[in-house]
Amino acid sequence: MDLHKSTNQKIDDGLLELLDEFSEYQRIRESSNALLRQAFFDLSVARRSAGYQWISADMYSGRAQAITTVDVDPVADNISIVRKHRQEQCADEAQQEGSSEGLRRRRQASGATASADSSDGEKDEHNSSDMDEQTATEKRNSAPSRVRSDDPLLWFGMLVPPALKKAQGGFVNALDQIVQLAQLKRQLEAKQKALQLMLDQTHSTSDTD
Amino acid sequence: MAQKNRTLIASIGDTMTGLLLAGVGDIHSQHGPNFLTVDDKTDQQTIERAFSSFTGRKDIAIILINQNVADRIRGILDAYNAPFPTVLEIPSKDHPYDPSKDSVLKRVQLLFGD
Repeated sequence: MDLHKSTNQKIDDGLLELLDEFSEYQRIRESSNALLRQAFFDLSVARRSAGYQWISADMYSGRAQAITTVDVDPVADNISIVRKHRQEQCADEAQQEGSSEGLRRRRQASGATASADSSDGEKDEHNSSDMDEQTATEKRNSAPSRVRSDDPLLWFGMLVPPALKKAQGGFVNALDQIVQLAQLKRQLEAKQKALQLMLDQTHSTSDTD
Repeated sequence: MAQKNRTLIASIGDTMTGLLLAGVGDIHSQHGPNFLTVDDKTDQQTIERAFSSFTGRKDIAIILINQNVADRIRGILDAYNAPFPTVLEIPSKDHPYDPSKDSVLKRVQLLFGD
C-alpha cells in the first residue's frame, strides 16, 4: 500500500515538474515567435529598400561555413549555442602572428639593412622604428576587413541597408531562444516518456489488484 | 560521445535568409548544404529526402523546419523519435505558429488523457 502511495507521489511530482517545464517552453515559444515576427518584418523592409533581387536566395554564398553552432554536452545532456565569430578567430590569428613570426621577421629585415649601411646607422634606426609603427598600423587597419569576411551579411553586398543588420540581430536573438526550445523539448519528451511508463505500470498494478 | 561532434543547426523552410543571416548555413564538401529552401515548386519527395539526409548526418544536432513545411511531411515527422538530431518546428514569414499542432503540447495532452 505504501509502495503504491509513493509511486503515486512520484507521478504527481513528475507531472508538476512537467507542467512547470511546459509553461517555460510556452513562454520561450511566444517570445521567440515575437522575435522572429519582428525580424521577418525588418527583412521585408530591407528587401524593399535594397531591391528584392539583392536580398534573395540567389545571393547565398556557395562556400558558406556555419559561424553559429551548438555544443552538445552528452554528460549533462545539454545543448548550448556557440557563436564562433570569425572576429574572434581572426583576432586570435592576428595575435599569434604578432607574437610569433610576422613582426620579428620585419625587424630583422630592417636590422639587416641597417648593418649593410652602417654610416647612416642612426637614420636607419629611426626609419626602422617608423617602419614598425607603419606595419603595426597597417595590421590594425587590415584586421577589420578580415574580421568581416565571413559575415553572411556580406553575401548581400558591402553596403547593406540598416534594416538588414537589424533583421540579422533579431534572427540571432531568436536563434538563442530556439536552441533553448530544442533543449526544453528534449527534456519534456524524456519526462513524458518516463511518466507514461510509470502511469502504465500503475494501471497494470491496479488492474491486477 | 558521438553527440559531441553534432554542432550544426540544419533548416528546412520557405524563408531561409533569416536563419542564414544568423550564421547557421554550412556547405559541406561531401554532404552538401545543411539547409533546404522550399517553395511552391518543391515536391514532397525533395523535402522528405532532405529531412532523411539531415537526420542521417552525424554533424547535425538540431533540425529547424517551418511548420507549414512540416505539415507536408507530417507522417515522417510523427514517426521520427530519435533524440538526435532534435527536430523543432518554427513559424515562417507567411505562416504564424499554430500551437495546436505543437508536438510537445500533443504529448502533454496525451499524458493527461485529453
